[in-house]
Amino acid sequence: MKSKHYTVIGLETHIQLNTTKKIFCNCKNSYGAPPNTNICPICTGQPGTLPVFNKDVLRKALVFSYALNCKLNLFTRFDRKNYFYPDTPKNYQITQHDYPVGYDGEFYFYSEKGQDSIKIKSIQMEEDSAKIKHDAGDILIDYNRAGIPLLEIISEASFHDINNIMPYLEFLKRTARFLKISNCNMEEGSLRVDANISISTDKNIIPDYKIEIKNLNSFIAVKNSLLYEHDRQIELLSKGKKLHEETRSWDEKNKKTHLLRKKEAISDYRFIPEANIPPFLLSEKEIFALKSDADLTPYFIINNLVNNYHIELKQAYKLTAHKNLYEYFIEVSKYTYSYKKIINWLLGDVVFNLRKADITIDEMKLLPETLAKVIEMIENGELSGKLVKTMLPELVKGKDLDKLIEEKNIIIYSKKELERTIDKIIKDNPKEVKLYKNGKESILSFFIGKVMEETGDQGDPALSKEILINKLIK
Amino acid sequence: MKKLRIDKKLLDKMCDLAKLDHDPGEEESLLKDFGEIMAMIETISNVDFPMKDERMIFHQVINQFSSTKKYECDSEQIIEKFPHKRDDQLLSPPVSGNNDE
Amino acid sequence: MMNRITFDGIKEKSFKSISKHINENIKKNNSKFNILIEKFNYDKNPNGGLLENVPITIKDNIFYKNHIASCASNILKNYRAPYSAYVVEKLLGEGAFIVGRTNMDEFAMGSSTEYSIYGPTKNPIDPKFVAGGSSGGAAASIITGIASIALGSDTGGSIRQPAAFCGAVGYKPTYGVFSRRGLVAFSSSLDQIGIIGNNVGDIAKSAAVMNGKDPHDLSSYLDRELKHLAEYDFDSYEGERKIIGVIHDFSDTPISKEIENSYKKLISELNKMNYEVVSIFPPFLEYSLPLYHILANAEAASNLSRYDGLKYGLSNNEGNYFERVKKARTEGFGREVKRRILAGTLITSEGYDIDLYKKAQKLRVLLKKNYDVLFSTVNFVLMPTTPTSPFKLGEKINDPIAMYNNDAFTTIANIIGSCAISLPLGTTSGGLPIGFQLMAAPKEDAELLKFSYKLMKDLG
Ligand SMILES: [Zn+2]
Repeated sequence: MKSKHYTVIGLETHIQLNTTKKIFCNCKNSYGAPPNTNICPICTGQPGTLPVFNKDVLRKALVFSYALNCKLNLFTRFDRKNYFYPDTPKNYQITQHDYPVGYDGEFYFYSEKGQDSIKIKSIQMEEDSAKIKHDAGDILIDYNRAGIPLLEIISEASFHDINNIMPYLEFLKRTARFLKISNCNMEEGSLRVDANISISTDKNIIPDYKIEIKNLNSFIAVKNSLLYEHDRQIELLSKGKKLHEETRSWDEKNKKTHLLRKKEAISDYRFIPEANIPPFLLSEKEIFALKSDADLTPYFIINNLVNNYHIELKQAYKLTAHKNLYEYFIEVSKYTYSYKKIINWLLGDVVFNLRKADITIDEMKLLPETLAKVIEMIENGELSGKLVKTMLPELVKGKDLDKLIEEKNIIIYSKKELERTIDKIIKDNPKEVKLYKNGKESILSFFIGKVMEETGDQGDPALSKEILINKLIK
Repeated sequence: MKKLRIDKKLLDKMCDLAKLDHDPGEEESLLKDFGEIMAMIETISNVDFPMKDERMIFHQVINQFSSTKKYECDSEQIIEKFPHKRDDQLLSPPVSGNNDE
Repeated sequence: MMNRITFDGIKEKSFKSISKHINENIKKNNSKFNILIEKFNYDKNPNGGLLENVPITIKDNIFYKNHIASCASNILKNYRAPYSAYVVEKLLGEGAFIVGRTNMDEFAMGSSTEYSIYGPTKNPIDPKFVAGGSSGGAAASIITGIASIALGSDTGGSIRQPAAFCGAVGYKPTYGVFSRRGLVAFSSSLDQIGIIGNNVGDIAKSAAVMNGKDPHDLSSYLDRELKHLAEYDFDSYEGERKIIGVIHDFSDTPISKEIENSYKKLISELNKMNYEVVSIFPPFLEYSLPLYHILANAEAASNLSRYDGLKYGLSNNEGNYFERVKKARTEGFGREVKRRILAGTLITSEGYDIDLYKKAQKLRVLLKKNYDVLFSTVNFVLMPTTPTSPFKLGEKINDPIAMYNNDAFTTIANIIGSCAISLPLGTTSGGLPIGFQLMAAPKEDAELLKFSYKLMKDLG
């Protein structure tokens, strides 16, 4: 049934930039301040004010455009999008229409499963609107958010599978975070999505309408609203209904979309150039200087981890979920070549213990060189993995490794010592050695038990097994 | 060039976009004036010239960025001006009667 | 004539005697001509400086902190400026003081100061006639001796036309010479604050003070040549070999016989005095008016959308958001403002021929290029400021197109962003003033002012 339908989805993603000031005035760009404290005549639309442009916004926009492989407009300027709404102080939004900073890009991204890419139509700089709160039938407006810089990333309408959308958004978020463009905190509204979806019953016919779902502020909302719309539209189409352009909103509580505006009422935005901000004529040289700031994308990093560190894609993907985690890995990797082991420990027990202790990777006291040392000691058979697991809750809180070893009364069994112990056991149990040599491999557990007995459970079972096999064959 | 007829329907549409109203009594003279203004404006369609790119720089300056200077005006002065307010926030009626949430 | 206040005249006088003089002139003229909307409670400016004791009026669309600036509109009737305009700060910093705010056409849209909620300003030379507009109050405040410098704004001739109608000098600088911070926007790419005064010297000195790079207006720039005029000896200026372009053929831009004769007389005088005068055809002049209205109205519709009855200004308790906004705007704006907003909305709306607005922008670029070429062959263009002499009150109030035709020669300077000055160089048979406009290339403000000074001196 489903294969008959042709789904077309495009996304408009808004990312709040983490500049210190707003885009067109000197107000602080911060979240959570008391209402209307970070405001001035400019961002509240007082008469006689003119926008002044924050250079940091342009820099970040160019870096992000590079990261998404966009072409850059050497001539770029702002336009006004005119519409009346309570959250729009001037009743027009300063945005980019005719000459956006970046255009015609292609964003390469990874998921756990593999690589994908999507065409980017444009990246534009614009101002955020004020924050609206509904209160007893009224609207309360807080202008602290008005004028926070946004990047709007408009994808081509070339998603055909809702399942491809989450990896795209997740990777967009990672890219912005890695390049220090935005903190992309969805709870704080610093990443918001408008999604367009339309469906055709014939693969060869592009749908002649699109339905926009506005203001989705969680990945789950994006997914659920699109799934809902997908089914709703298919049901209507299968009944022979004709669909028309409209704007809808997502109702999280009832898991439904609601009609906001029909096409006739969808605003005619009457774009005009913003004359108060002189246009920008950028030089190739100036722009090129920013290119290196866009180098360390998670896409590049994952490629590097897979190709040069020989790490599995799935793990490389997990490691780049957070920039700090990846950076910690890089630090540890300076002290040991056991990259896979680092990742196993890091993504496994270290992250587990951090979560349990409710501390972040930044706050963690376990030094990269200490983790590297622990990993090397395991490799050398000086510590057992089992034992390290019991030590980690204290290590992540900053306990000194040597002190912990001393306290736990651990005798460090180096490989040599272990070999000596095993030699003695072999010498003392000739009967069992004979049995093994005759093919009774199960007798191995007897020897391992002996090793544990002798070492007081401190010897590494895996290593012991390895040594035993070697020696018993002789 | 396609010319639009300035009629009541168009006037109503523009009034809705611009959020303006007019007395029914004014309508006739408003339509007449509106029509005359548009006719005058549309005379530029008589100019014939190659339509090249309009990346215009009529400003005397380009590539200008803000400095750190602040307006001598604090937030209280702006909040004071709100005709309707609650808890330092501007009070607005809902956008429309029903599907506003 | 009417005890005008020139810089020379106040040089030796005390603040007390100047303010007494102003108060007498206000008493004598204000109710008769409707010039000042509000007289401020001013005192001697303790700052002192280049403009010590210089009395200034400001148009009702320019901000003076904590004073009302209403744009002669109902929608901002009680709006108190939360900050001062850059130019106001500059003038106050040099010892000037502000007498009050002057009448204007609502939001500077008009050419007669009749579209004001405070009623029309009348021409001080003959109150049956209009003072011109939109800075009519500003021009009248100079002629009646209420101020020696009047700040106005010029989007398509709003400084030069009233200056011409009242017999004052009106200077519209190059776009960016004066910061627009604190000027209520009408059309952002055309608006420029300008000065009306008694003579070129006073204006030049004030302009030198007012110019600067304002961090709050990205289009503003520092003009060093202009800055030098603060203490320049104008009588030392030679100004030879400057070429003046003049129009000989007015068939595309009709003007009254009276203006044409006066213009021809002026040209022959210039020829007699050995000025280099050449005949030119100002490119696209006949299209400048429609082009201007496309640009100005499109931007005005956008600029004036912030007046929604929500954040400040006129408000109401109407039902939902859109109803409240509509009511505030319907009650708040006058007819001319509404007409222009509607035209601007239509021009940019999707239903309309999209090419017209794009074409206008391209035509603007083309015009600018053409005038660059023209100004490479002539230094100045001399034109009548207005196609007719002052008209009677009420004569054009119900005929928008006739009103717009006043700007036939002035909008071109705004479109190309150049500087121009209207000089009082003639009178009609009825004794009404006639102004002639000298226009120069962008950024040639200092040359324009120096040359205008010389011209006024030579023509006595
Ligand atoms: Zn601000």
